[in-house]
Amino acid sequence: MNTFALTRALAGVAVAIFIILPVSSVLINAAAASPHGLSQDTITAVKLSLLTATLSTLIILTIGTPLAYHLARGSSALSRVLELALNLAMVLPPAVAGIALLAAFGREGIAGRYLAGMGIALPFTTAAVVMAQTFVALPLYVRSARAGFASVSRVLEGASFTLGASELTTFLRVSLPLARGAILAGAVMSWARAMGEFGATIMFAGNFVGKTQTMPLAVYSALQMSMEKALVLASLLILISFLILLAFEATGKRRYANA
Amino acid sequence: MKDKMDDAHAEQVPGRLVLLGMLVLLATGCTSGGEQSLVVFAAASLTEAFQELAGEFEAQHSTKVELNFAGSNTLRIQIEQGAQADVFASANQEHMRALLRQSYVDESITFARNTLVIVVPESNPASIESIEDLRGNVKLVIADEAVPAGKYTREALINLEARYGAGFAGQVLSCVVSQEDSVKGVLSKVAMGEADAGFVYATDALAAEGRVKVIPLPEEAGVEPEYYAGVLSSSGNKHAAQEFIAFLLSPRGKEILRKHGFEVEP
Repeated sequence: MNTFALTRALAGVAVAIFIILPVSSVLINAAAASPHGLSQDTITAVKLSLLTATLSTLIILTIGTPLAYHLARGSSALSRVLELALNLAMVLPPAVAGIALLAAFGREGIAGRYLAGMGIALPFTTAAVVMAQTFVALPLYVRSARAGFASVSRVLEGASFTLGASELTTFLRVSLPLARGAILAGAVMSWARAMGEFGATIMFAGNFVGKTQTMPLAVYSALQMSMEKALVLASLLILISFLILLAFEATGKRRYANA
Repeated sequence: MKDKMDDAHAEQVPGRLVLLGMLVLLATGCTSGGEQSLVVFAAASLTEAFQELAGEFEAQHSTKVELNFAGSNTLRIQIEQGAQADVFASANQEHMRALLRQSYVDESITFARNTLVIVVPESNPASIESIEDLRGNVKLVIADEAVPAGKYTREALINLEARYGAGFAGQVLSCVVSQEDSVKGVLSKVAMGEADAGFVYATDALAAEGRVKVIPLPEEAGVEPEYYAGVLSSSGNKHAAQEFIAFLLSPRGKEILRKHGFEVEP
């Protein structure tokens, strides 16, 4: 065995130790703890997570798609600022995102105090959960969609223009379909990221069953009570993540089969 | 081809040695020697007091004190899951008792008492003057049920039904917009002005003086939060741990605790 093969083998062992072992430990321990079963709070948290992550993803698709296209095509000063802001949002620790959202939209925040004047209070609401998720997941989507749009040949778009199609028609009929792989990948990534959002949510939206307690917060709250309950919840999250992955792989395979 | 690879292989032996060396380093890196340090796990409400206590203890004993603050319930679970600590200081008896029962702690003593109060932001946006105002359209933040402060809060509300009538606790709890993982979380939400009111300890309110206003609870609330400290059975530094607990009970220790708003035996 040469050194490179040894390195690869060690990398495999590292993955097994750092990822496969902890994840399967959750499942094994949860199986032993399962008599605790699923409480009503757990079901509420699952529903809330599915709802908020889906809403965030829809918002992200709506804002992020034109933005990604713009970033892929233009390189104005504004694009560079936008890109920098998105990259910053991607590397920021979620807790910092939570503080930032509070500083801006909290009741005494820069924008929040005007909203409060109009009778709108965002903290501790489901809307705050969606905002936190959108904040952390939007950059992931834009990054992926942007790469997708950048790989669409300008010659094809140019041909569309020559044939008399408008910019919008070209975007909808040429660029969008050709970038759909990257768009789908980005959407799945950001949905998963939204499902997993914890830090910004607990800081900006608080922790309340049925309103702001998403799955990750429920896992955290359960751990305040007992490891068993947290394990059952955590294994549920693992299962959901795994299902997303399977669905993603399945659609990916179909896509390549069609291509 | 085969030979070539073997040559490359031979040349890379030093590389393999480096890799091995790195592994050895990884394996041994965890056991750091050097000066002794004392790890203290303390209830979040003890934060300010224990920071000062630890500072003085360090100066007196040339022992470094590492503090870990969280809800007592969280600390208990961390200890049950194998966290290495020397001293555990709990904001109620329940979590200390659980660790005693499982022999994680050999014995415990009570060293301070606290009071539960209501805090409102200095600007008091919901115009709360008494616990009776905690009904209707008020954003109330409390500690999670698993946290001692959260448990005391619920107990107090139920005890107060004797004064304000059945259903009082439910009415107040229906104003809750968030359940925090420690009493400090409650305090910060109120101090930031995001919540209209919260239940915290008198000591927390004192630590946030100027940012929050305190509303005492009626006597019927009947909760007397008590703090317990004990040395962990697995402690590798039992002598220093016992000295730290002795320091808590010493006149100087009591003085510091009292300064931060705790009640201690004279």
